[in-house]
Parts: sequence; C-alpha cells; structure tokens
Amino acid sequence: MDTRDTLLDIFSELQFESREIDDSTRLKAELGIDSTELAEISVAIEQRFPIVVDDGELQRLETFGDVIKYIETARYQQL
Amino acid sequence: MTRVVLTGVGAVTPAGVGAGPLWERVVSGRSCIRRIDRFDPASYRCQVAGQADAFAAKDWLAGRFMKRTDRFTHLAVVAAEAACRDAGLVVDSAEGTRPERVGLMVGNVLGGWEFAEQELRDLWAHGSKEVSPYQATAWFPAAPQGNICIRLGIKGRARTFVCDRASGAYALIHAAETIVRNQADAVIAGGTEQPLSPYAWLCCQTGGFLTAAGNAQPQAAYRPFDHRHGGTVIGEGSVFLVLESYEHARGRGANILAELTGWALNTDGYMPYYTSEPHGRTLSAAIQRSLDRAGITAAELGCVLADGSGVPREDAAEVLAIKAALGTRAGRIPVTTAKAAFGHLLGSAASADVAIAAQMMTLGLIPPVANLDQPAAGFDLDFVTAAPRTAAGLRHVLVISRGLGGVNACLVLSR
Repeated sequence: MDTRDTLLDIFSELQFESREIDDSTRLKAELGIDSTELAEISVAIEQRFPIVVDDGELQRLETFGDVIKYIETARYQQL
Repeated sequence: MTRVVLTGVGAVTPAGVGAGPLWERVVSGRSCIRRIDRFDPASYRCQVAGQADAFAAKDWLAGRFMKRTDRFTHLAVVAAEAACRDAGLVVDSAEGTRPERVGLMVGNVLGGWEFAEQELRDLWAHGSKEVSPYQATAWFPAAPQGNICIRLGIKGRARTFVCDRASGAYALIHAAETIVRNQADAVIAGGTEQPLSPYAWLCCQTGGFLTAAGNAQPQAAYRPFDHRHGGTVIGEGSVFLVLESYEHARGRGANILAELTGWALNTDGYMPYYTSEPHGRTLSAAIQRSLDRAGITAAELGCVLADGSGVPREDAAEVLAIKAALGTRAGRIPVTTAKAAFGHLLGSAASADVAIAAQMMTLGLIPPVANLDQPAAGFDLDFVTAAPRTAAGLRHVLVISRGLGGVNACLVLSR
C-alpha cells in the first residue's frame, strides 16, 4: 500500500470515517483532533512506517496531506 | 423553600434500554440475573450478575468516542441523554435552560476497570508505548461527569460521588440541595457502574458482600430479606433523573412525575469499618429525619422501598431501623425492594430506585420483592411478595440506600 492508503488505514483503525478525509482535510479544524488523539496517531504511524515521529513537528501539521508529506520526507531522511 | 421535582428518567440496565423495561422487570417479580459471560467467572466465588446485554454501545455512540472511554461512561452518556429527552430539557441559552443553570451529579464506585485492566496488561506485557493515551481519562470515576457535561453543554455545578453503594443517593441529595440553594434550575443526577471485568470483580469479591450461594440458580441468587439470603448480586447499568425546581419545571411546561420532598444522610461510624451498626439505630435516625424534612409522619408513609442488600447482617439492621423509625405503623406499611430483579447497580442503585418509586406512585402499584419466599426469622414487616400489590392513592415512598462503612441515605418521594 502507498503512504496515503496506509495512513487512511491507520485513521480507519482509529475509528475515523474515511469518507470524510482527503488531502485537504484539516486535522484540528475539521476532524477535531486534539493532542491526545495526535499521540495515538503518532504511535500508529511509528508502528506502520519505518520512521521515528517528532511529535512537535506532527502537531504543527495542518492537513491530512501534510501528514502524508511528513511521513514520506521522514522515510527518505531516515533511510 | 424551593421544591424539587422529577421530570425525566433515562435508564440502561440489565432489564433493557429504557425506564419501561426496568419497571416491567421489577413488577414481574422475576430476576434477570444470569451467569457472567463478560469474562470467565469460574475462579470467583460469585459467578452471577446483572448484565445490560441489550445495550451495545456501538449502536448509540461513535467509534471515536468509544475508543477513549470505558463502558461505564457509555452507559452513563446514553442514560443521561435519554433522561434529558424524557424531560424535554434543552440545555441552551437561546432555546432552553441556560447552561450555567444546569448541573450534573453522578454516583460511581469502581471507575472504568474494563478499559484500565486491558491497558495495564499491555503495559506489563509490551511496554508503555502500547498503553492507550486515553487510559487516565477513561478509568477515573469522574469520566462520565466530564463527558456528559461536554456532550450536553452543561456549565453549572458538577460533581461525582464515591461512597460505595450509596454513591448515587449522595448524587441525588446533592442535586436537590443545589436546587434548593438556587445554584441551579435543573440538575441531571444519577449514577453509573460497570463492574464486569476480572479485576473489578475481584475487588467486589474481597469487599465481602457478594453472595456465593447463587451460582447454580442465578435467577434465585439475590434474595433480600429472605431466610436464605446470602449476600448481594451486583450489576452494570446507569439511570439518570432530571431534577428541577418546581418553578422552573412549571415555567417550561414540563411533565412533573414526582417530587423529592425529603432526604437525610448520616454515617454509622461503627467498627469494624466493613460492617454497619447492627441495631440500625443510625439508619433509623436518617429515616426519621427524611420523613421530618418531607413533613410527613409514619402514618402518612405509603411504602418503603428498602435498600435490600441481601447481606444478612445488613438486612437485619435495616429491618430493625425501619421498625424503630416507623414505630406502631411498622407492620402495616408495605415494604419492598427492587434490586433483586436486576441486580444492585452500585453507583446507580439509588437513581434506579427513585425512578421505580415514581412509577409506583404513578400507577398505584407496589412491585414484589423477587425471591422473597419466606422472610428471615424476626423480619416481621409487611413485605410485598409473590405478586404486585395495588396501592391506589400511594403518595409517599421512602427510598433507603446504604453503603460500606455505614453510609446511610434516605429519600422521600411524593406525589
């Protein structure tokens, strides 16, 4: 699966409705994700991708698409 | 003085979802207590409980809410919201009651152990990263309070009470006093409990009040005041009530189900701490004070809805207390208890009892005590057994709620 599909899968496992989500979806403003749920997402990303997540950077991201870019950049940088 | 009235009921119990199934179960006189199947009870002394099997949280609540809360919060949220709908109470500055004037009082004993146990197992087996970030907010006893306030937009006084099986009664009494002191126009009050997980059940077992004699016949296990009483059977569930000032209820045209006219609290303070004062003297005083507050005498009391824990020494003390408080009327006032039909709901026991007491007065009907085949020796009260008893014109019901450590709470409901 590519990054987008895997991330959608993570969100689905965390009980998000995947039909609500595309790249422009805003994490806090539209999905209402708070810091605790972000911690959950961070752990799930680390379990599914071979990267270490910087929680400070993650919480500054605005959209679902930003998270995809973050993961792909981290994968490249942490090779 | 401000009058406190009951305008709505919401219930999720072993009898089913809704106040209707709860009443039907109690009036049937048959118990729905069953062998536990939420975990394997084989290694426990008491293997039976009241399970709210008709309630599947996923039918009511979003996944994102459920993943961060324990079932005791699921039960509470659904019951509290149902109570508001039943009362027609809208928490809204523009369209209903101002949020700052609505309160919430919750009784709970155990917190959310089903959630917490799983996370503790993950902690020891896999390390701290495997522990849900919601562990702290899911377990603690005030989780239902927080979640209900958020969902309903309540901004008035809110509090959670933990005093064993009288927790819910404390919540109801504090709700009433909050209204009397004009600190709220309406208070949603009740309790919630979900004891069906291995560790929570172990805590209850070591509490020493569960019956070990009911495993072979679960429906016959809980036998308050019966000569074969051997302890309590507990259950999961949540019942919430909407209490309001009379003026506020009338002003918005609410349907008034009953009035909370009297209440009293005291504590046995008896050693050892896990017993209650055996002659019921302190409880008797609480009964008397609650009647005094209601402005009625024993002669005017229509029924006692007893605590009925089924623990022999507690049943005995309660009988003695009722006899002492009601004097010459003691043998002529019908006495019943509802818990044997569906289980003692711990933090939600008192609110379930008040809901049932209100229905008793509405219908003029007193349900029988399930499994009371023959009262224990010396229990010479007028117990309602075998079949419901008509009581046209039933106007005042005394509800007794007691907890470990000798906590006594009495409420008088009137119509």
